[in-house]
Amino acid sequence: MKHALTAGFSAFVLGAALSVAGAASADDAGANNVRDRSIAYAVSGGHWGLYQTADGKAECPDGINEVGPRETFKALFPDDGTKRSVVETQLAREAAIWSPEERAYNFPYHHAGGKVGLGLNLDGKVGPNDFTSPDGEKGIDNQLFRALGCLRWLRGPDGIGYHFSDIYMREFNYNRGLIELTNVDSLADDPDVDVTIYRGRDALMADATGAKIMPGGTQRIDTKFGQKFITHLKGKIVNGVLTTEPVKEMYWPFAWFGGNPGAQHILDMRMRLKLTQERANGFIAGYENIEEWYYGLARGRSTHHLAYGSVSAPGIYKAIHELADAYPDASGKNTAISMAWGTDLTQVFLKKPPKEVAEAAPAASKTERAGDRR
Amino acid sequence: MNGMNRRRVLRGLLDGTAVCVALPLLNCFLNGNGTAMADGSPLPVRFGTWGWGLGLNKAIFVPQKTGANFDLPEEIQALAPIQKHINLFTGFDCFRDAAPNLCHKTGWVIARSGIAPANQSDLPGETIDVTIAKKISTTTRFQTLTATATGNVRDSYSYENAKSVNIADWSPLQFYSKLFGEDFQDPNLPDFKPSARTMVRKSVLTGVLDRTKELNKVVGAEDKARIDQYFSGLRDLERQFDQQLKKPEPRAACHPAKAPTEDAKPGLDYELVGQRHKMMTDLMVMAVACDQTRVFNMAIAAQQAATTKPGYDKPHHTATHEEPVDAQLGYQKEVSWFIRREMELWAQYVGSFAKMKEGDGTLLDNMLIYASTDQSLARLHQIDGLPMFTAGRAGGKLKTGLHIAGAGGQGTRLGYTAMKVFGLENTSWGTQSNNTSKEIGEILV
Repeated sequence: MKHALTAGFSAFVLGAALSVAGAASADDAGANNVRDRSIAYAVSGGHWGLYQTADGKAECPDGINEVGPRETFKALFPDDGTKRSVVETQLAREAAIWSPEERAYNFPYHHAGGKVGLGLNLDGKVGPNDFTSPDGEKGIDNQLFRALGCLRWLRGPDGIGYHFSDIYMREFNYNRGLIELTNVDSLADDPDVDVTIYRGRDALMADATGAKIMPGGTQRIDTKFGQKFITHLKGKIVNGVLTTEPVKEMYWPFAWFGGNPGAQHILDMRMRLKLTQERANGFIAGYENIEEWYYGLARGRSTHHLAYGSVSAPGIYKAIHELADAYPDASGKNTAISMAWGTDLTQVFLKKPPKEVAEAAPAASKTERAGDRR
Repeated sequence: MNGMNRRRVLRGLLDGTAVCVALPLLNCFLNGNGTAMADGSPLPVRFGTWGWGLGLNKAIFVPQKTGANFDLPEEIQALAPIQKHINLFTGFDCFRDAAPNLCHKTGWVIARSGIAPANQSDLPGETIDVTIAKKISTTTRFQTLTATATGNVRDSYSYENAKSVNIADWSPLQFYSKLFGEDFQDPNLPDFKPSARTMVRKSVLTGVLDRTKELNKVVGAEDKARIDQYFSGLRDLERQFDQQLKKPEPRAACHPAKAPTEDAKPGLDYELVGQRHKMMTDLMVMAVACDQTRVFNMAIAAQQAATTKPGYDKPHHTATHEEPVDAQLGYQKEVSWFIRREMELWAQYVGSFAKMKEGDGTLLDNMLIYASTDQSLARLHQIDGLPMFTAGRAGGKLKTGLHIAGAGGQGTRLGYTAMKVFGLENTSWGTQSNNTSKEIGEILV
C-alpha cells in the first residue's frame, strides 16, 4: 500500500483499527470509563478528511494549488502604472469572495484525484467518482476531498489551516461537540447502542503543555443555546468501532477564526468512530449544502488567512459547484457535496440536569437511508 | 580618588554649544585593580534584555554540540564574534497548562513573567526586568529604559502589569534628548550644581504631595488607598528628582557623544531597522555607562515581527505562514533570511557592550543580558523548545560560551537564575507548571 502521511490525523488510522479485534488499546489499561452503561467523549481535534501521500503526487497529479488571493490580485492588477481605485481592486476582490460567480473565475484550480480517499460510503453504492479507502473499502463518497485536497493550507501536519483546525477544536469552547453513548454493554461489541450529540460548555482538561488533552474531564451540557446540536442516533459497535445509522440532518459545533460561533450542517449524517476507554476518533460524514458550506468558509477565514496557504475562495466555490453530488434542485443541479470530517475525541464525564435535558431534547430523529435524500 | 577628571580638561564651549570629546578610559575612578570603585564599592552589575521575533528553524539554529565550543549552524553563524560572550539555551519549554496558546504572545510572556496569559488582553504579573529593577535600579535616574529598533512605541517586551506596559523609546533623537538633554547630569563633572529647573519641579511636587497628607486625614480607608495608588507615580518622580539633586558617582566610561543630527528614517526594511538598532544601542550603551539606569530593554522586532526584506513582498510574520517549506532545504528560506538578520543584530548589540571598556574589563563583563523570542517554530506557533540567550558575565558570577540543552525543562529556569544572580530573595518563580526553584547551574561560577 502506498504510504499515507498520517501524522496528527488519527482519523486516518480508522481503517487499520477496524481489523484489530477486541478493541482494547494501550491507553485503556486499567481504565473503565463506562459508568451506568454510558460513556461520553468531547471534541479535542478535527480536520477535513483529506487523504494525502508524502509527496502529494498520487492525489494531486496536477500539483498543489498556488494561486491564492495575492497571486490572483497580481495577475488581475499588474503593477503597470494603471491608475485603479480601491473599489475596483481590493474591494472588488473581497466582493468576489463573498459573492462569487463560478463562471467568472478563470484561474487554474487543481482538484484532487487518485483512487484513494477517506470517509464513508454514504449511498451504499460504488460509483465511478467514488474512492477506495486506504484499507480497501470501496464506494467512499467524499467529493469535498476533490475540492480541497490540493490546498497546501489544509495538508497535514503543517499546513496552517490544518494546524489551526486542531487548535480551534481544542481551544474554542464553542467547538465542544460531545458524543454520549448509552445502553452500552461492551465497548468492543454491542449490536444496539444509543448515541446522543450535544454541545458542551467547558474547557478541556489538558496537560502542562496545554496541547495534549487528558481524559476524565467534566463537561456541562449546553441546553440553552445548544438546542440545535442535540441529536439522537442509533448505532452498533463491532470490534471496537461504532457505526451509527444515518440521521436526516445534524449540526456540529464549528467555530473558526476568532471563535465566531457556527456549525457544520450535515445532511444524511452518520459516524464511524474507533472507541477506546479514553479516546474516540473517526469520521462524521454526510453531505453539506454547498452555499452554506462556502459561507462558513468565507465567514471563518479572512483573505489574509486564506493567503497563508494560497487559498482561492472563488476557486473553491467553483470547484464545489462542479463537484456537488447530491440533493439536486428542480433544475437537476446538485446542491450538496459529500464530505467527511475527521474528528478526535477524548473521554469526559457529563454533568447534565436530567429533567432539563429531557425537556430540551427533541424526539429521536427519524433515521433514513442515505439514498432516500438523493 | 585622586581628584583628576578628564572632563575638566576637555569640556568646553564651541560657538555657545557645549561639546564633549571622549578620552580613553582612565582608571583614576577605580581601585588599583580596576575591579571596583575607588572607595571600594563594587562596580554595578546591570541587567538588560533583548527581544527578537519569530524564533528559529531548529535544524539550522540548534547546535549539535552542547557545552563549550559549540558549533554554529548556519542560522546563527553571525554569532561567531560574540560566541565567547554568550550562552545559548535550547530545548526549554514554556508551559501554558489550561491557558490558550495565544499566537505570538504566550511564549514570550511566560518566558519573561513566568505566567501564562489567559487571553489577548492579559499581561500577568510583571516582566523580569521590572522585578530585577526593583532590586538593583532604585538609585539611578531611570529605573528602567526600554527601546525598540522598529520605530513603533508599542513594541515592548516589558510591563509592570496589564495596564502599564513600559512603552519603548523609538526615536534616537528623542532618546538622546531624554538621556543626555538638559536634565542629564554628567557624573564626571568636578563640581556639582543642582539644576534650578529640577529644584523648582521638586518643590512643586513636594507641595502637591504635602497636600495629599492633608487629604488623607479627612478621607476613609478606601479613598486613602485610591489616593495612595494615584500618587505612587508622583512619588517615583519625586525620587527621580531627589537623585538629580545629589551629586552622582563618577563613571569613567561615561562620555556621551554628540546628539544625532537627524532621526532614523521610518520603515521596517531590515536595513532601516538595523540603522535604528545601532543608533539606539549606542545610546543605550552610553546610558548604562553613565549609570542613568541599571536595567534596560531592547526589541529588534515586535512579537509577530513585521520587518521586511528589500525585494520580497511578504513581511517576516506573513512569510512564516505563507512561504512554502523548501523541499530541498527543509525550511523556509526567506523566513530564515529574517532570522539570520536578527542574529546579526544580536551580535551587534552584545558586541557594542563588549567594546565599552570599564575597569579592567568591559561593560559587558558587568552585566547580564537576557534574550528571548515569542515562538520557537513560528510557522506552527510552537512554544516548546523556545530559544534564549544570555550575554555577559554579571560581574564574574556567570560562565559564558556555553550551549545548554534544556531537554524539555522549564524555560523559566533561566529567568529564575537571573534573579538569583542579582540577589533576589524569592525562593521560586513562575506559576503552575512554569513554577521553578531550580537555577541553571551549568552557567553559574
